[in-house]
Parts: sequence; C-alpha cells; structure tokens
Amino acid sequence: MAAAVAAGAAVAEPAAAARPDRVGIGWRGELAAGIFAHLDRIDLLEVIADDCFRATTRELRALSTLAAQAPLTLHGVAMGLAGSEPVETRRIDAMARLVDALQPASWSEHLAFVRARGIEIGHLAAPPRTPRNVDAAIANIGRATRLVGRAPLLENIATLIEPPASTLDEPAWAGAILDGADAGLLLDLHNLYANALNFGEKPEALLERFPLHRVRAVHLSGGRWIPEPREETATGATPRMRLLDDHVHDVPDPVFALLARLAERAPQPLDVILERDGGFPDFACLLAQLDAAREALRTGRLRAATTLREAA
Amino acid sequence: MSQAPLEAYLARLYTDDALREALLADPACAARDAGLDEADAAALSGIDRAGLRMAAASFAHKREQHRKPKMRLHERLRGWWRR
Repeated sequence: MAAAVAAGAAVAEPAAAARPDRVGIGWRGELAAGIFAHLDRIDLLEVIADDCFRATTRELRALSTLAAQAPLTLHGVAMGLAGSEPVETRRIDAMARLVDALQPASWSEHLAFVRARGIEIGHLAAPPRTPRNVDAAIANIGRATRLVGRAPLLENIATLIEPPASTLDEPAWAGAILDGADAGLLLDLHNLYANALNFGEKPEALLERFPLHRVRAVHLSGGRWIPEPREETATGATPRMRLLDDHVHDVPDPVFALLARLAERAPQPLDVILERDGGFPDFACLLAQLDAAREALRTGRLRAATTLREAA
Repeated sequence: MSQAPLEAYLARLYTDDALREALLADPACAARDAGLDEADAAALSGIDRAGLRMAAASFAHKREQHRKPKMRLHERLRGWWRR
C-alpha cells in the first residue's frame, strides 16, 4: 500500500514526498495478537497515554519494545486543555515523562474540558466556544508545550449537546486555538461527521471550514444512532435520533469519503489511526478498514494530482 | 473575564441530576441561583435540552466505566501471549 499512497502523494505536492501517508490502529490489549500478526499491514500504533502514566520501569520497557515494532504516537484523554482552568502541572508532567521515555512520533490531546472546580465530568465535554475560552486554551496548550518539550496535536471532539453560550462555531473556535498555539490538528472524521449530522450541517461543508492545512493526523471510528429522550419529544411524535460516537462500530462509508476529500484538500502527509474500543470483530474486519482508509487516501491524492495537472 | 464559572456550572449540570432537572424546569431561576452573569443565564435559557440530557447520560455511562477495575498495563501488553 505504502508505494501506492506515496505515488499519489508525490504527485499531489512536492512537500508530500517527504514521507508517505501512514495508516495504523489504536493499541488495545484485546487487539494485540492481531496487531503483532499483521505488523506488515500496520504503519503506526497509537497508545492511550493515560493508561501508561503509572507504568513501572518494566512496563516502560515493554512499551519501548512495542515502539520498536512500529512508529508510536501517544494519545491523552484527560488533560482538559480546552478548559478555562489551568491544567494541573502533574498531568502535564506525566505526559512529559512518557514522551521522554518513549520518544513517540507525536503526542495528542483533545479540544475539550473534562473537569471544572474539582468536578470530574468523566469524559470529553465541549466548552462554550468563545474568545475567552480560546485564550484560556491557548495558555494551557502553551504551558503543555513548554513542559513536554513539543506541541501536541489537538483533536476535535464529538458532542451530543451544542455547547451553550457559544459565540464561535466549531471550525472558527478550533482554528483560533490552533493558530494561537501554532499546533497541528488531529482531525477525528467520525466526530466531525457526528457533529455535522446532529446539528444540521453537511459533513463535507463542515470539513471544508476546518483549517485543513493544520491537519497532521486523522482518527477514524464508528458509532450508533440513539433517540432523543422522551421528555423532550412531543407527545405522539417519533423521537429524533442523534449519532453517538462510541468506537465500537465499524467506520461508516461516508467517513471514508470524508478521508478521501481531506486527502484531496490537504497535501501534507497524514497519519491515520483506526480507533476501536470494544465490540471487537475478527481482526480481518479491522484490516479491511485499514485497507479502505488507504484506498480513500489514494483516491484523494489522485484527485488532487488530476486537478493540478488540469490546472497546469 | 474568565468563563470558568460557566464551565463549572456545566460540569455540575452534567453530573448532578437534581441540578439539571432544576435548570430544565426554570432556567432563568436556576442560573440566577448559580450566580452566573446575565449573558450566561440568557444562554442557558436556550440550552439544547435534549442534548443536555443525552450528554449527561453519556457522561454517566463513562464514569461508570471508569469505576470498573482495569488490567495493569503489563497484563494488557502481554495478553496476546496467552491467546
């Protein structure tokens, strides 16, 4: 695959020739056997950093062994960089120690808040998207960058609620933070897809409004439709449905189409990670999704090359 | 001015069933009681009600998952040997 993708990328733009796109998977213990048996079809692995913050020396050695098998990226899930409170130093220090020990290809976190005034929400929440929040997020990311020694890639999250009191839309808010922090975007295409469908926008249009020149990495996953609560549904009416990003279903075809469109629009090399947290299928099913991601990248790169040729 | 107070209030709405029901019943009164400024209180009056309930349920599910004991890292890393 790499050769095919590289060929497409090379004609898309000279910068893309620096290295090919890479396609990999999130490391999960349940997938270990499949991953080790198919390393020839996996370009990189993403490890959940928070699972490793208390790693012993022996466990760090095991992670280093894993990193020797394939390029590794570290993904944090609980720092809360887009919260308006300063992130606790101990949380950033934990990431800094891990980055120092493993020297990953990149590290990433979310554009989310996960706690406030000591209240743990339990997952990634979208803060009100305002200039005030942009400033706070930039300060948090700047401090994390200094302490870790390099900037994180920042991921857009899925949200079931339109964050109240927002004065910026998601692409403008994310773009302002990324510009202010001079950071790269980890674009989760299923999160984007879910937000678009849940809040009445075409996914392709939403994609175009994100700062695609900042995309360095991509997440792919799946989800399921869930009904709005009865309490908020008119008597006798059928509840509306919203798409929940749950990481336990296969990547839907429209998300691969978004990846192709992204590859067409963004000439820089992309690291694409398939996320699967449960409902694990046969590993062949996951390999097929990796192949589909490569095909989407190739399609997008070829479209871009065709456009360039026609314009020349 | 920081929006930390608003984010703290949202965190409570996502995790406190009684507070959430109070807000949904009378948003203006609940926001006033929370000491939020007028702009934030007005924004909460138009909150995405279904989304609030769905997000809160989703976060509760995640917190429940976090309470389950996790395997040590080395057990997960070595799990594949036992397959």
